[in-house]
Amino acid sequence: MQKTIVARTGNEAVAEAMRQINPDVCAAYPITPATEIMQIFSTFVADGLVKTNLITAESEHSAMSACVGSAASGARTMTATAAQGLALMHEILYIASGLRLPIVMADVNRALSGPINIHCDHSDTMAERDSGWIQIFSENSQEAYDNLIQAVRIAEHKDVLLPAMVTTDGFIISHGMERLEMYPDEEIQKFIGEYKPAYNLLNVENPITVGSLVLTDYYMEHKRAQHEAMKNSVKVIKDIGKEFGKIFGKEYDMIEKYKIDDADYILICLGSTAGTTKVAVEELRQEGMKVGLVKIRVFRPFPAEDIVNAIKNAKSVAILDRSESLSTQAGPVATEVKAALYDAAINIPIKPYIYGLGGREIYVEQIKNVFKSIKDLKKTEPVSYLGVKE
Amino acid sequence: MTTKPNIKSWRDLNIGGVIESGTSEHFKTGGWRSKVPIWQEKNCIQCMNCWAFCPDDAIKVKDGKRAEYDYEFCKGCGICAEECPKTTQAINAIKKEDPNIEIDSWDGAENPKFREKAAILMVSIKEAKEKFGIK
Amino acid sequence: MLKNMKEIRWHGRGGQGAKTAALLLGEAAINAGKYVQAFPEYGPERMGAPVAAYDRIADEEISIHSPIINPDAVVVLDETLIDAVDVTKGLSEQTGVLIINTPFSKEEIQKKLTWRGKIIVLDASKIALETIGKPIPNTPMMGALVAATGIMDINHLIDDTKHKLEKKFRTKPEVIEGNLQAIKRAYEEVKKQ
Repeated sequence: MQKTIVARTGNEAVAEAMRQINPDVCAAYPITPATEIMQIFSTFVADGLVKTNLITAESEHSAMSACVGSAASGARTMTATAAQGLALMHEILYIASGLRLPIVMADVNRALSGPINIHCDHSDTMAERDSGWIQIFSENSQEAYDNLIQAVRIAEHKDVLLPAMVTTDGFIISHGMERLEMYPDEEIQKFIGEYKPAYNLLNVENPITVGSLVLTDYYMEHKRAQHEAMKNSVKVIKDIGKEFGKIFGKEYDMIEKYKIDDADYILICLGSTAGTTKVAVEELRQEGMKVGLVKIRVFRPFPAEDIVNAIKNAKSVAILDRSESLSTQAGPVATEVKAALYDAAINIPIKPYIYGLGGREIYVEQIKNVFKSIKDLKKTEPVSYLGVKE
Repeated sequence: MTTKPNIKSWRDLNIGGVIESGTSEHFKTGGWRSKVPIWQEKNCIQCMNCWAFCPDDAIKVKDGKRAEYDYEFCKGCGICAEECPKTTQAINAIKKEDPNIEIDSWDGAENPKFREKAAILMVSIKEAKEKFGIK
Repeated sequence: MLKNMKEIRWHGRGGQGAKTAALLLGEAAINAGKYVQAFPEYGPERMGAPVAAYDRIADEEISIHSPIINPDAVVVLDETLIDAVDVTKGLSEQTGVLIINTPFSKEEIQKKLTWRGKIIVLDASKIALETIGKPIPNTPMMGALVAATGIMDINHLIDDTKHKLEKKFRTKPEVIEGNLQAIKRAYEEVKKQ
């Protein structure tokens, strides 16, 4: 296959993927650092490179509402947002997943106010972890591009039918230019295939009601069905990740394991920090410390089994959370990993960290120190802050 | 809310809670009725206002003409009586529970004969109609 | 750290094209078969405010996603920034190189700095004025950077810039030619130093 090597920022890569996906409808509202995605995509619409009907809504709440209406009408629907925008969509995110509409969203991770901040952390995405959306994190521009393409297939799969968000780290990835391997338009179209909606409001031959009232009698059954769809998505995500690898050359899974086979000490994180951690792993291995990385690519559904299998032989584990759930316990990643270990009756000492809030820089040296901090870890420790001014 | 109990498993639900068309047929709303509209065919001018304004499907049409109510779906809202031209007085609505058979002020029916008939309607519309020859 | 990875920091004032220069250089390097990261520093930037942008250029995939703290080269698009910003921060006195757009001599610039390392001076604004017709120093400074660091073949940079400007300035061929001349002249002047 003829791959084109280009220089693209994360936002440009996402916009290019959207162009190649060529959705029927996009409804969006601009917000830093995701604005560029729709700005670039709108030029594709204006230039006639896509057939998309672009709806410029007056808020993110309206944008997601338009997406729900569009998806319920059987249109392949996409949007993009970040931070406060995602928070404003909150109410409608649950409706999208409850109605089982496979909307695909590009979300650029940015800290939620306040105080007001425009830089990267995962608080916006983590705040929507219970919204019933599939959540895929990207390490770099290439993954953002690859993940978005796969997300369309995953969301629309008949055993899943759930909305999916693909995230990139604000500014670090969204505004950082990197080398991107692009695949031919027709290969992308072939991969995602024609969209066959599960239902369609506009089909007058078969009129339906969407969004009806379901009270004590069946609300719970609908949630149970969503639960099953989320469970089903694990196999679908893995299968599509493998198929993607066969066609385009890079395979994807729920998690990425980096040098963990003989690792005594493992660090778990997600997003762009995983890339920085790989450098720390290399450097520490040169110093003789057997360390490895588990990168969580898919946070929803949570890959509990895969993570447990990856870390069960480690002496100790450090977990980096780029968001604060203010539970006073640990961030969402650490909390869920700990729960997974409990279920597996495995007791590995864990050291959870909170780092990088509001775009606070994270350096290789700090990550090396995190690894060193778990070298003699005997029992699980309470959460600590990494890189905070004491 | 179907007429017979039909407990479905979560596995059998339509995706996203989508409901196919025609389910309101199984949803009998007549039990909500607190007012009863009475149609007197002899006064009816076939304007079809009542049929057009009925929010449910309680007014039947047969051979292009207004036919009897389907009381299984009549919620007793009184809109048909309101929309029935005042000069015709083909439809009157009365309170079902009231033993004194006060005809609603908005129905315009002052005919004492009608009130008498209506008193018995409280027991059974069908019987009253038969007894008093209302068609 | 990757072998042969070069890290570059650009200092400019909002509107001078520091970010554009970082992106253009990155793109040229990608087209020359390299792996690249190019990213600006985001803050409350406005016209005239000090801004910074960065490049990482390597022969292998770059996975690190941290800010650059120890650049191999620093390019300063406006010499007045020396008084406002610590332009040599993290720059090694042994291996680093500082490239400044200024009409002053190396000695005069040296007096303003406590940093003792390799300094290259170039009147890029003058070159730009004479070749492009506008005092925009970013393209000649790219030529100077390539001359000073050897991060890529100068012809790659010239070809790539030509290719890009041809798309952007289809109706203004003089702008394209001017920019290419600016890069060449800057490259040659630095090579002579």
